[in-house]
Amino acid sequence: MQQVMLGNEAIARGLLEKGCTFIYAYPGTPSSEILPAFIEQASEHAVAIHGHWSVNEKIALESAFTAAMTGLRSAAVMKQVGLNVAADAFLSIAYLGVTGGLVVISADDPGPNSSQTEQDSRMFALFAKVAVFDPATPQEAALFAGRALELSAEIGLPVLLRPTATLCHARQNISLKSIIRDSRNPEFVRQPQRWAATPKHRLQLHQKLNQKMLALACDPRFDFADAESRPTAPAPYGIIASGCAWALTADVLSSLPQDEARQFVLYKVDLPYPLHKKAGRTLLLRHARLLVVEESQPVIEYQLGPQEKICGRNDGTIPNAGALTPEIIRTALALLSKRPLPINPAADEAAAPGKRPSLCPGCPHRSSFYALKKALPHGIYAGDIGCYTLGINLNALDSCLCMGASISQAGSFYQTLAHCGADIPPLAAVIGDSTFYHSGIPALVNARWEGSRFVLFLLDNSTTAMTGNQPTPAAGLRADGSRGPALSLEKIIQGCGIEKITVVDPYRRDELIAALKTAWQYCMEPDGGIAVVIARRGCLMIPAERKALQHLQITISEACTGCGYCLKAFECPALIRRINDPEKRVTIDPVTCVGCGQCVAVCPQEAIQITGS
Amino acid sequence: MTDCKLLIAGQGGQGVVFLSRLLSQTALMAGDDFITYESHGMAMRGGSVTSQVKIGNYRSPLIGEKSADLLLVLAADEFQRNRHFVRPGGISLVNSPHSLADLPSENFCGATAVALEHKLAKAVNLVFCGWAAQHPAFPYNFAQIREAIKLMAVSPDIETANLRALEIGRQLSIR
Repeated sequence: MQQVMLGNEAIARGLLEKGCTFIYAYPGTPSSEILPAFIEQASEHAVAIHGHWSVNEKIALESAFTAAMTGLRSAAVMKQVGLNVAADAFLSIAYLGVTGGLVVISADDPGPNSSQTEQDSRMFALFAKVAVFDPATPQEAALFAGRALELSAEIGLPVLLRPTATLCHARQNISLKSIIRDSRNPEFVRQPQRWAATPKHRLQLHQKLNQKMLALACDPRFDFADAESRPTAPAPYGIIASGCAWALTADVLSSLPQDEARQFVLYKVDLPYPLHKKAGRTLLLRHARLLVVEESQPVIEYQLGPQEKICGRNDGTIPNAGALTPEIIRTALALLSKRPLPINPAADEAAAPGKRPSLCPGCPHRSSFYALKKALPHGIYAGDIGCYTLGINLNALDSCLCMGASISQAGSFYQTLAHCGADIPPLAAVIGDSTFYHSGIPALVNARWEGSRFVLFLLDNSTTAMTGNQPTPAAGLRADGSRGPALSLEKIIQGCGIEKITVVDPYRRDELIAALKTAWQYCMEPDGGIAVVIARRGCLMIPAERKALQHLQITISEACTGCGYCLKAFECPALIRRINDPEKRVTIDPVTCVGCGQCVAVCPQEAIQITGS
Repeated sequence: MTDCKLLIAGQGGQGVVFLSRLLSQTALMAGDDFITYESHGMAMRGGSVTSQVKIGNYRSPLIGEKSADLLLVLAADEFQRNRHFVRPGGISLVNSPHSLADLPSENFCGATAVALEHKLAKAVNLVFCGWAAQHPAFPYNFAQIREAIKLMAVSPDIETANLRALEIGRQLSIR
């Protein structure tokens, strides 16, 4: 039986096939599709499971770990920067181990395409001493997700599965295996020396972990010294690769002329940490030189140790930033075999960067940013992670560090300026609802306690929009579609000790501008503090919200002077320059316009008009 | 056994991902191996998007410079940015209201205006696909694409609209 699947759907399938019944995740590109796919497939095959969107990755990992403490098979799913959030639990779990099976899935984003960093989760595995699988294709991802779960159950330790974006969002025909139905009951065996280990016991657990990692590094199942197709004549150059980097290298090698290709042998590493010890030594003896191709940091290279014969990221044969491309591999092969570098006549044709992403037509965030700039000009706007990071295009964001940092940063801007007696410009933290739940709440408690003063501008579109509209705790919905309690943002904020809270519809621009101005005035009053303005309007990517929106007919009159103010200050994709117009006037793109009418008030010439509905 | 490296370029929201899914569904029904890659996340918000479709015996979905057999472009602006991926002798087919430098005049069509005329604003991609499918470089024929659309449709209404868009595209002859 075969089925076309996205890499992420294949991972879900692999987990299901090997008896995973508990899955916890926080959405993040490129990992977001795994949890919904798991829930959907389980329901199709009537497998009883529990899947949940945790509020953040640390909670997801702690939850999945606890299920695996009771002998069940579980998974925690996140993107690579999510593993940073879950790091505290991750490193500790490596010592404690599990009695069931636990797969941690951390999806990397070399490039980066949709992340703050290009970090390599395999490096995290090496740091934490957690075995890691690196799948190369969607088909292999299904297989390795299952292998990871079985290995975890076998060695009693968590195992990491590290896909990269190229795999997560690749689509391929997958051979399906049968699904193991795990009807085990959870059984928690009290072992305080293990589950609540004190430092003395931790040392013993660490020693035990070292032994298990050493055993894996000698396990013949992970010996990679036998290549898929060994040439008959000995080849001078060996290439060691894992994951998508292996797939890419394999395709490049098969595109080379035969006489060139036969100088190379490609070896595939399934388990980059712990690296099989003997295989590395064998290949060093077998070949004159070795090239290591891996993404995005030199994890295999590090474990092979410093060797004259090895080239890769450490000696600059492969650049140490950016995603791998066929051109990089071709260049690396030429450097390895000391052949002339491939001429790249196309390089200067690789034209200017393309159109940058921007907020969707009708996005309530656009209206919120426009109001923020009007209400609090010359302010410092501390931003956060989500669709609204695109506020940078509107010149309405000054920082973007990591999840929840807008609130800590706005607080610290206040403290820094106030303690030095400097002038304090309007200060705002701009954060979305999902990010606020993720890690904004502790930051708000901290800022209130410290006595900071700023406007917390909470853009509540009642969803996790950037990653594909996963529900938040306020939605009253859970990952599996069941009804849950709808938590109130206002009550949570009140509970953090905030007294000044205003809720406004961002489409009501004048009200929003007034609310933001009043909020900042409150911040600066002698007994003021943090004022919260919640801009509440649903994301238009949610079909129901889109349906509920009244579609207005928008036209741009001849009063348009082509000044371009609307394009710059509002940047709606539906506002475009007229084609072949000498005055470069603006028109409405009927394909993208959703008819929200929010652009009408933006035009200084009043040329944007509502002409019908 | 078809062997074709295909790059689809456009801007977020134009249905680039849908076209790559349609091609992989067609490949599946034709019994061909394939691997594709789609942009997700931040890149989806109206920015430049590409999908890569490799039909044949491939392991990685990535297409290198000067190696695509066929480049399909849904937004004219994306042609210049992606044409260096086309191999010598490869074909570019572009949705553009006007002719473009370095593009033979028979290789563009104004699918957007035609789709709007027929009130199919959301199916510009399929109008374009219907037109492009007539080109000899296109890996599958019109009937095969039709079957794949039928299989992928989530409702009869969508199926009707999509097939109509494809047919309208087919009537835009390749000059």
